[in-house]
This record gives sequence, structure tokens and C-alpha cells, in this order.
Amino acid sequence: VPYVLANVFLAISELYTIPVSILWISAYAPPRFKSILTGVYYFSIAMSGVLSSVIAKASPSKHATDLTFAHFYLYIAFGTLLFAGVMLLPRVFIKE
Amino acid sequence: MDPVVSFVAVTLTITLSLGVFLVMSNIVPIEILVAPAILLCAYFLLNVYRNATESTVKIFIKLMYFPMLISVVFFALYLQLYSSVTIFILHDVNTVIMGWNIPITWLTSIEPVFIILMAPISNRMLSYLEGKRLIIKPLNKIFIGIITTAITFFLLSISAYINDTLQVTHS
Repeated sequence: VPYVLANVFLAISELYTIPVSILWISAYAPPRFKSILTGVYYFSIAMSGVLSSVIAKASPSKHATDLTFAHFYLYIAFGTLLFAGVMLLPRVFIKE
Repeated sequence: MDPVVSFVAVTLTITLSLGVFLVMSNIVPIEILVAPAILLCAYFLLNVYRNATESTVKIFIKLMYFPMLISVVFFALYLQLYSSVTIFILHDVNTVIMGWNIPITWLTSIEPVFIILMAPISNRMLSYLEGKRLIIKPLNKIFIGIITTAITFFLLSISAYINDTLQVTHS
């Protein structure tokens, strides 16, 4: 059940992140650079694959006993919350 | 079509194909191809920065900082579904339900189904909130997205914890 719920929440986060990001770029990019910035956005997604592999490498292997998957995912969750907090700081200065 | 555009398109296609071939045949490491791409991005960003009419810092924050950085982190976490989560299911999760062994790839592929199910619900909810004069701004939506990603990993952690506890109880 928690796994299915996790998938539901991941679907919600995908719905709220990707379309809005693309919309955000197309809305605010200067007309001359719209396509370039969209390309840069997709390049940043490609770079996330590298970060993903780094995180996956840190995941507990079958032989490691000190780190469990429960702790590993908990660290990721806290890390994500911390990241959201850091990202919120300049949000104060932005007027939509 | 403009001949210059055609020339650039053909050159880019050939270069890209050559790059993919060189990487695939292990002649050139992928880092060598990534470095020019990063430099190219930096050049484009510099161009945008120079030509911006609005306050350049604000444009940078609006376009680069929020959607791109958040997307990098979001996709890095999202792709865990196909790497560490798959390993977690493979080693630690009992996938047999009533004698039927569910393939692991099925378990990692149920997320798109939830996207299809959740999209209309999410739209209705946003319309309802709009009716109540509670408009969620795009940046806040992105933040909701990143916080729900954190909730996802909390739930995965709970799932792994329950699984560990059950394994200890059985042994």
C-alpha cells in the first residue's frame, strides 16, 4: 500500500512540475531565446540522469549492512525537503 | 526552407550521429561530448543575459533557477524509480500475490497509469479552487511538486521499513 501511494504522489508531483516548468519558460523567456531556453531545459533534464546515477550508486547493495533502504529513502526525502527550503529563499523576491 | 537553416540542421544531425556512434563504440568517453554541450549552454545563457531587457538577475532566477534546477532534482529523484527502487523491489519485496508473481517491470510501470488517473482529478481540483478564488500560482505548483516528491520518498521509506520489520519477524 505505501508503495502504491508513493506512486500516486510521484504522479501528482510529475503533473505539477514538468508542464508548469515548460509553461514557465515559454511564458517568461524573451521571444528570441524561447527555443534555445527550451533546449537548455531539456539539456538540464539530461543532466539529471547523471545526478540520478550518483544517487543510485549510493543506494544500499545486498552486501552492505549499515545502510538500509528505509534509511536511504528517508535521507532522500529529508534532502528533498531541504532543497525545497533552499529554493524557497529567493522565491520571496519574485513577484509573479 | 532557408538554405542556411538546412545546412545547420544537416550538420547538427551528422555531428550528433557521429557523437552517438563514437560513444556507443567506446571510442570516445561521454564526458568529452558533454563538455561542449555545457559550454554551448553557457554561451547561450550569456547571450540571453546580454540581450535581456528586463532586470537580468530576475530573468536568470525566473527561467534558470526555478524550473531548471527543480527539474534536475525532480528527474534525478524520479529516475530512482527505474534504478534504486527496482533494486529494492528485486531484493527486498515479496512480489507474489495469491500464487501469482508480479513482474518487477510492472511494478515500476504503474506510475504512468496514476498520471492518467490523477490528471483530470488534479484539473477539477484546480478549477474548484479557482472558483473559490484560491488560484495556485505556477511557482507554488512547482513547490507543491517538489514537496510531493519528498512525500513519495517518505512513503517508500515506510514501505522499506515495513518490509524490513516483516523480514525480521519471519526470520
